[in-house]
Amino acid sequence: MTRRQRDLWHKILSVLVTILLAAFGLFPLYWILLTSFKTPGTEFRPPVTYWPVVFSLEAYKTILGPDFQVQRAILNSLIVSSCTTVGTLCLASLAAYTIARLKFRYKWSSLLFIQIASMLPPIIVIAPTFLIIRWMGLLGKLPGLIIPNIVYNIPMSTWLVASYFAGLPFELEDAAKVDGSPPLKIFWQIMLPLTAPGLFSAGVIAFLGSWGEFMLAFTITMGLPQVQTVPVAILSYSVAFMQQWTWISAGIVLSLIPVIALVVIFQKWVVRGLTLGSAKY
Amino acid sequence: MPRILAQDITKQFRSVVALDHVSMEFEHGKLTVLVGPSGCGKTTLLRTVAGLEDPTSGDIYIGERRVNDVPPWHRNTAMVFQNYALYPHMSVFDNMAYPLKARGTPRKEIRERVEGTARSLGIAELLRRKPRELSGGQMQRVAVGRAIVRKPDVFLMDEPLSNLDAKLRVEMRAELKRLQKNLGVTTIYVTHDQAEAMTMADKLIVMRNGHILQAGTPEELYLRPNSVFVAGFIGSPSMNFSGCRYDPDRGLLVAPAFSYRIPEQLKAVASHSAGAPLVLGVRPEDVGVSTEPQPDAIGATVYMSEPLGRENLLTLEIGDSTFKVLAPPEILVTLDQRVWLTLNERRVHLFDDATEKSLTNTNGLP
Repeated sequence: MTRRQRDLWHKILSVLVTILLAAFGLFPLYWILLTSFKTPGTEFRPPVTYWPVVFSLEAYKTILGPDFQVQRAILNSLIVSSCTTVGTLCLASLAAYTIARLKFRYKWSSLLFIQIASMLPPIIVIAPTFLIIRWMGLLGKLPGLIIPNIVYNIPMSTWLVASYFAGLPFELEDAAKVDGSPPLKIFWQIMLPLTAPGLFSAGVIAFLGSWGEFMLAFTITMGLPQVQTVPVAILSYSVAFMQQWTWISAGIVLSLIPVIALVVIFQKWVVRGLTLGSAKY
Repeated sequence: MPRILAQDITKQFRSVVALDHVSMEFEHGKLTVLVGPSGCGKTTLLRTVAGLEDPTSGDIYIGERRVNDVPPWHRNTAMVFQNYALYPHMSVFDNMAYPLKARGTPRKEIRERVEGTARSLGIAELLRRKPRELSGGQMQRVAVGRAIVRKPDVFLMDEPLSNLDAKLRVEMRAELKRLQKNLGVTTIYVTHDQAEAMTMADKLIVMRNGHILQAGTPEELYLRPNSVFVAGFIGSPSMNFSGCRYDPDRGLLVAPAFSYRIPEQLKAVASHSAGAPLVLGVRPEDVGVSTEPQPDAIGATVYMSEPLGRENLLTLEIGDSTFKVLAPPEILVTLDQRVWLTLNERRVHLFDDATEKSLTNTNGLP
C-alpha cells in the first residue's frame, strides 16, 4: 500500500467513525423530532418508519394550549437559567480572580475546598437544600431555584475561570495600575474581557446544567404549574396522561430551541473574542 | 518634572533581600540607567518607584511628595515593560488612550493626543490594529506611545528593548534617548546590557545583590571603576584581571606568570598593601602589543586573533591566564606566536583582592 493510499484509508475510516458517533448521538433527537409530529396514538403503530409518514402539529397545539402552557415552563426555565448563569459568573469570576491573582495564604487550598463541596452527590444535599429554601420562604418560587443552582455551579465555574486568570501575564495588571486604574476597574476593563472564552464555557455549563436540572426543580416547585421548569413540566405530561410521547417529544423539541439559539449566538461572539483577544504574550 | 528620591530603601521577599538600604536621587529631567546582572534588585527598585512593590522600609519621594502610601494609579508615572504588556483585546488607539481615559480626559482631547503621539512615533496608520497584528518593533512603539501620551512626571522603563532583534535595538536606543531629551521627563531605565546602559545613560548606576556599587556618568564608571565588579561589568570586551602582590623592594607587581614594573603613581597606594593579595586590571584597549621583545614588557603567546575590521581582538595566554587585547590591524600575528605587552601606565587599575575595592580610582586618572 502506498503512502497516499494509506492516507486515503485513514481519512475514510475517520469519517466513518465520526458519522457513526454522530448518528449514535443524534438519532434519539431525530426520533423525538419525528414523534413530535405524529398524532397521539400513532407513535406506536407498526410498521416502524424512520421518516415522517404523518405530519401533524396537534401535539404542539396541545402543549402550547391552555391546559399545559409549555411556553410558561420554557419562560420559567429561561429565567432560572439566565439568572443562574449571570449570578454564577459574577460570583465565580470574582472568586477566581481572587484565587488566581491576589496574594494570600492558602489560596490554592481554598480552591480545593470549594471543589470538595461540589463532590457531594446531589441526592445528599437535596434534603438540606429543601430545608434551607423553606426557611428562606422561597419554596414554590423561582428565586428558590436560582439560588441553589448558583451554588451548585460555582465550584466548576470558579475552577475554569481561575485557570484562565492564572494564564494572563501579571504585567498587564501592572501596566493598568501604572496607567491609572484601581484594581476593580482593572478587573472589569482588562482581566474580564481577556477571560471571555473561560467565562463563556463556564456560562454554558451553568446554563445547560440549570436548564436540564430536574431533582431540585421537582422538589422546590412543589407541583405548582406556574413555577415549573421544562424538565418538571414535561414529566407532568407523562404522569397525568400515561406517557403521551407525542406531547413529551414536542415539549423537548420546543425546550431545545432556546438553548441551541443561545449557544450559536454566544459562540459566534466568543470565537471573535478568542481570535482577537488572545495575543501571544 | 520632579526628581525622584529613594531613601534607605529595603525590600525583602520572604528570606530574600532584593534591596538592602538603597539610597539614590534620580535627577530631574535626566535619564538614569540601572544596570546589573539579573537578581541585582534593579527591577525591584524601579517597581518600588512605580508603586508596584511596597518597600519593606525606607521612603520614596517624587518631587517633594512622599509617595509610600500613594497607590500606583495615583502616582503620575508611566512604565514601559519588557514584554510591552499591551492590552491584547484593545486596538492600538484604545491601548494608547487607556491611561487618558483612566484619568477622565475628555474624548476630544484623547483623540487629539493619541493621534498626535502616534504620528510622532510613526505608528499613525496602526491605530486600528490589535496588538497581535503588530511586529515586535511596532508593539514597542505602541508601548512607548502609551507611556508618553499622558505627559507623566516620571518614565520607568524595564528592559524595554531586550525583546527586539539586535539591529532594531540599536535604532530604538537612539530614538528613545532622543525622545527622552525632547520631553525632558525624569527617566529611570533598567537594563542588564552594559552597552545599552553606557550609550543611553546621563547617569549610570551599577547594582549587585541589592546594593548600589557605583553611580556616576558612563565615562566616570568606565575610567574610574570603584570595584572589580564594576570594572568587569562595564566595557566590552571586559577588563583583564590578574591576581598579584606588590614587592616594594624590587618595585614590581608579581603575578604568577609575570612581573610588572609598577608605575610611579601607583607606588603610594600599593605600598599600603605591600604583600597583600591585589588584583591588577587593565582594559583591552590599554595594552600595547609588539612582536619584538621590549624592556619591561610582559611576554605572551597568541591563542586567537579575531579581526573586527577597525582593530583585531587578540586572545593571549600569559602562563595560565588569558588576556584580551585590542590591537591595531597593522600588527599581524599568527597563532602561537610570541608577543610582548606594555600596559598604559595611566590606565592600570589596582584592586584589593579581599574587599574587591579599587585602590586607584581616586588616583588622578583622566
